[in-house]
Amino acid sequence: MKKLILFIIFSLLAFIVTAYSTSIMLAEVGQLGASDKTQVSKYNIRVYSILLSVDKDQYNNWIISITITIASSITGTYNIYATVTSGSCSATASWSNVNLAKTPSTLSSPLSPQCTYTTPGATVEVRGEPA
Amino acid sequence: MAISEVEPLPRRGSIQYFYSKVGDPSMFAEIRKIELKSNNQNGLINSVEVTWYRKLRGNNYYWITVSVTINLEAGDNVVVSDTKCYSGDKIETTSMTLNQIINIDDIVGVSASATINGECSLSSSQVSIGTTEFIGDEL
Repeated sequence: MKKLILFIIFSLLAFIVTAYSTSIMLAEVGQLGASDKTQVSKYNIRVYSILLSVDKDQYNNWIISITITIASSITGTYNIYATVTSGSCSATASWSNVNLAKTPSTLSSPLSPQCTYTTPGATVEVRGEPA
Repeated sequence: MAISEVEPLPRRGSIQYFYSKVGDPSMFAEIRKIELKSNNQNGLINSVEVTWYRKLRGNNYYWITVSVTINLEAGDNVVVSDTKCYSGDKIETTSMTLNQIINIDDIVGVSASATINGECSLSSSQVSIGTTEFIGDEL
């Protein structure tokens, strides 16, 4: 009888230890691929204005620089890219480690290559990503 | 907490603007600047301002319509326009009030155009025809 009781207690202890170690392993597997960084709310890049500067007030003119007024819904440091496309020509201006907040900031940059401002017009895409 | 310490998820990391240019070397209009105007920093847009250049033929007057289309995330568009009689060669700034307040976070694209229409008379040079229109379901 005494041996039976000891056997039952030993078996219960073995079961508990096995179950606990298994749960720890599964929890670790669940973290695979996850980032150590903390995830926060989604951000929006807010573009309030874009100015395309040209070299002259004539039909055959060139887009020589860009000025953007930009903000973000979440304060932080971002890399900003502005790509101007006119016809088959495309030029990108970039700004690194820009501190953005809800208060708009103004960024200016010359464009290279300088694209001809052709009909039917120019497309500007402004993109931002955390630095 | 610096943003480099966290991993923000982009809801919308980019936005696209379109600047229209119409005409030929003798007469054309092109958009130079589009500005979304907000009263404060809450991202609520209530008006737009467009800076554009025109070169018109001779001393004639022409109707020019400046139009801005705002593309919203939900697929709807908000359109605002202003038509006036112009002549000569000049950089112009046109301000237009939206008929609804738009959250800038809902905007995925903005396009602006200045189109040259038929001739108008000098007497109508002060005439302004402004319209604001919402295309799509009510927000």
